[in-house]
Amino acid sequence: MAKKPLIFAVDDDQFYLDEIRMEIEKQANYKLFLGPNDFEQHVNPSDIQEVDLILVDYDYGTGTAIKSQMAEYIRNDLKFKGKLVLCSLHEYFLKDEEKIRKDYDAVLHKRDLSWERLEGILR
Amino acid sequence: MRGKWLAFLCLLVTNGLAGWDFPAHESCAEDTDLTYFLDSSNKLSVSSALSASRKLPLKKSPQNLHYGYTAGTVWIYLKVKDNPEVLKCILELANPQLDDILIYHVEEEKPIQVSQMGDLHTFQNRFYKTRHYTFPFRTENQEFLISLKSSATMTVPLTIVSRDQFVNEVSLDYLLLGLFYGIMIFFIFFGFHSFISFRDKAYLLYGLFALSILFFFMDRDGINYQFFWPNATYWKHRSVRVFASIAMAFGVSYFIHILQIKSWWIRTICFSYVGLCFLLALSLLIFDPHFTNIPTIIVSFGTPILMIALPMLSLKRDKIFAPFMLAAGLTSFVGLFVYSLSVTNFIESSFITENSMKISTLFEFVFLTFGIHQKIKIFHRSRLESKLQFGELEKKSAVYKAVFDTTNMMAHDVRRPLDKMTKFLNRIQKLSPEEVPQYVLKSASSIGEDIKTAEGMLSELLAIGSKNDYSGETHLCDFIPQMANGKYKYTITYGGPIKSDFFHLKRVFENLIKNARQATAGKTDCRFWMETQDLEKFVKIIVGNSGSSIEKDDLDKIFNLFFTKGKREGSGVGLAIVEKFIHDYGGEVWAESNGYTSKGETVPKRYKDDYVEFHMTLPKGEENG
Repeated sequence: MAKKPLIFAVDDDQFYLDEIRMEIEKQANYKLFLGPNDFEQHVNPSDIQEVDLILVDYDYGTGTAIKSQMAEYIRNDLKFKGKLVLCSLHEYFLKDEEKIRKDYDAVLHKRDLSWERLEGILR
Repeated sequence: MRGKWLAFLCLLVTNGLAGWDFPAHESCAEDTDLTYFLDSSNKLSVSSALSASRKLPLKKSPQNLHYGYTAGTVWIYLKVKDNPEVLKCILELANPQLDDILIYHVEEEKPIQVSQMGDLHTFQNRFYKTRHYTFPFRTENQEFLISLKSSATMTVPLTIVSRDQFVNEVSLDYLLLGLFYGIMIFFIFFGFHSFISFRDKAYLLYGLFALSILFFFMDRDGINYQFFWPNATYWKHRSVRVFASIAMAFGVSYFIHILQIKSWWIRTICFSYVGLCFLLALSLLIFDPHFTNIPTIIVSFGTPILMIALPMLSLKRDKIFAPFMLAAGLTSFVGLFVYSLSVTNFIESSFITENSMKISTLFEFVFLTFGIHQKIKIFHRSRLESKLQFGELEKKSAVYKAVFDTTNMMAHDVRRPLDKMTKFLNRIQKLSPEEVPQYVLKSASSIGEDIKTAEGMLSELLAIGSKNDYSGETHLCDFIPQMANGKYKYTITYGGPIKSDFFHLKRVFENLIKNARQATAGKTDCRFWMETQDLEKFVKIIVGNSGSSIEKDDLDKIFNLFFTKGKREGSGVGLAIVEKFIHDYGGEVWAESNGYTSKGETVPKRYKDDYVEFHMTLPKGEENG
């Protein structure tokens, strides 16, 4: 039996965290974080090396994942080598678009959130 | 070298100024008889020339003789009368382009060479160190024979003047030259300065054109020879034509650039002409100037012709510069034409004809400079207009960007409950009947909150364009504590009614409070305050907070619809609503932050740390009004 991938998801909306959980719980191991602060407090570099994919919400009400430099933190401080995916309801990221292209492996619209899509990114 | 420059400048100034003080002396022309003839075949010996001269009838007054281009020798025979006064006189050839001047003194019927001057000889050979060729009479009752040769047009401006008169003339002469060169230097600086300012190659070419014209005239006037290369006879023999050719090349290049001529065939003709000019300059350095007489004539007339033809072809397209250039071209042509008529003896020589090229050059550059000035004026005007247009576009673009930012955020916030509902519906189909009630309970509050947010946002947007009922009054003594809600410290100086509907005023306060909350999110030690002040018929209400600020450049825009300054939470509508409601009730609203206001004023900074205050004035209600 193949090893289940490990997925981390960061979102400030519990509804979406539940939705992610229900989408992936059968096919993957997972850990959910309610916003960037929760993620920062509960994740350390040794944990993260096992992770295959981190799903990061873009919009946190008071700021964005780009403004709070989530990608830099995950890649440089935590030395994460797996897939980093930005997840959002936004269609356009305006001035952040270039940075998103550079820092993230994929951008996933929340309406398309499904295990099949995540599996495709993981491949 | 520096000394020579200094001497040159000093001579121009001191000689020029001193010149006005010299008294004129008697004419020496009465004491001399002379005759002259041209030996075109160049075969006569000195003795034969003397014999031939003696046979010719003697004349009284010397003249400015012109023989055009000739390889022959001009012989001048001069007989000085038996008068001691003649020792005060000088034979003067006013700086002609002569290669070789030989002066013979007839002693016992034999011509003995006493002096040798001209462009083929160093400057040191001259009796007096001026640009003119001079020969003083040393004994009375004497005969002289002078032979002249030139590779340029044979012009012999021969005069016999007293020494005092000569000094006066030279002084005035240098003063006029100084004035002419000074004006030319102004044109040169104008060209180079315009080039540095506008980085347009045309102005550089204009400066180089003026510079080479200046060198041409300085060389032609003998100033370069006197001050810069008094021993360089080979160069002196050619330099005038070299400078002329270079000037013509720069001139035509300038015309093409300034008129922005695009036509291939015109450009080809002009650049071929420029090439010919440079080739001529180069060949002058190698070959004897005699070989370049015809190309020199072509180049001399070619430039003014192009200067007339090119603007005529461009008149339809370029109504600013072309007319000025046409005037310059016509002036230049007239100057050259008058000079040519003079040297070919068609018209009598005079001060005007001798200096016609200089006079026309001055007018030519005045016209060209006026043309450039017009162009620069138009450039400045269009730059100003572009700046204004750019400012307008920038403003519009900022509005569009703000609208887009806000729309994007609104789309997100409106889409969220819809997306959640879609997911909710999909999910309950997949869940078991036992799991559904718990899921519904959990999801409903999240979806409900999102619907409320979206609804609030839409109603804010609608409020901007809505027509409200602007009646009603609100008592501040009740209203302010309610709004302060324990978080704001408040001071009520006026607690009576004001003309504002309760719900409208509540919306205003809610927006200001929301704004402060967003601006101070995550910050500690922030203070919040509200204050009312009695202003006779009006009441001033202040809502402020510390711990945040608004940049000076943004202050005047914060009430603009959709202005968010990249703030994620703001829609750019809240403060626009504040302004609308306050204005609708006949009041005023402005913001103040760190000593600057949204009205563009500077006021004393009220608090040590960063702060933002919103000031509103509203009319008092009926009870106190």
